[in-house]
Amino acid sequence: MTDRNEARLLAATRLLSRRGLSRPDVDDVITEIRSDGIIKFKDDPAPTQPIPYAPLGIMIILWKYTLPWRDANDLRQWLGKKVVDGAGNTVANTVEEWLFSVDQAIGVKYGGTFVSVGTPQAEISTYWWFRGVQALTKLSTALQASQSAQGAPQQMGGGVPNPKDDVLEVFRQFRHWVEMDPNRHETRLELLSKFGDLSTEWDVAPMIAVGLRL
Amino acid sequence: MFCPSDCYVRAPDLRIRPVPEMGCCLIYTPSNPNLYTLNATAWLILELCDGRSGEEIAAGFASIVRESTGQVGESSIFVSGLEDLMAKGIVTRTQTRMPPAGGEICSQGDVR
Repeated sequence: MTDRNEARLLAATRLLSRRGLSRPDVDDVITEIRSDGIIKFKDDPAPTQPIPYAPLGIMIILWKYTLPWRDANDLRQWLGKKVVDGAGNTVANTVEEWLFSVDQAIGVKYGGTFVSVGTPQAEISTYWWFRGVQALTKLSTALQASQSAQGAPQQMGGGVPNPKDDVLEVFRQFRHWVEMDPNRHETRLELLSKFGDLSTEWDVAPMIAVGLRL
Repeated sequence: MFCPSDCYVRAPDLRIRPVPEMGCCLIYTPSNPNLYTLNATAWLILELCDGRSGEEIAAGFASIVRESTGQVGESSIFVSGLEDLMAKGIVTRTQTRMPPAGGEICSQGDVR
């Protein structure tokens, strides 16, 4: 066994010693490979409960996209639609109100959709808060699985999300507008204080970031 | 299906990036481009797959689990982990002993 293999075996053993034995877990993740940083956390970034001083979460996925004002108006109207359940009962006055009220067990929270003021086109930002990497990984994996299962996406502005549906359907519908912008991009922001020392080794390895794959 | 007399080895083109700070190990499989996160148990099984027989690897797994956690590394846990790693092309089966394989993502541009 080489030194490198021995070092990895030792690292795995130490991690097992800290975490204890659990069922083996091999998760498939949606990836975005970057070459300008590394993962460098000092703490476990996947708390299962909100931490007191950061109740919204420790990570933000930010979608930025630009639309003609006419399309932005369609998005506005979708966000303003009433949400009803299968029996026709009103669950929320608007989709956005419902979105703000959803705090899924997986640890994702809608942070709002904002638009620029006084620009030729609508420059839109949508925020999604996550409690940690684990929450983001779970949602990304679930999205991938549900998209594979569902096949062709629904028509833009189709059904209003039923509260019995999970947040995946909302993501799918939302992305129809986002994907209208070929120059859309996604930024992953993480609480600075959760990182380790950023002054050294910042360029030693590619950053492998889990995202929502815009 | 697991066979104690068969030998198991990490896929030859694997990229392995331990991230113990996050409690996992990242694995990239270039031949079937996918990225996986392995928890500590799955990672340990992977590291033990160095071309030895399934029986030897299982014994090594049980020994390490006992020494490092005081728990019992049940055979069913080991077999389910190994079979999952095989199903995803991270570990392969071989009839003959092979030298250890695998590498690390250690420089920019290795994996895109």
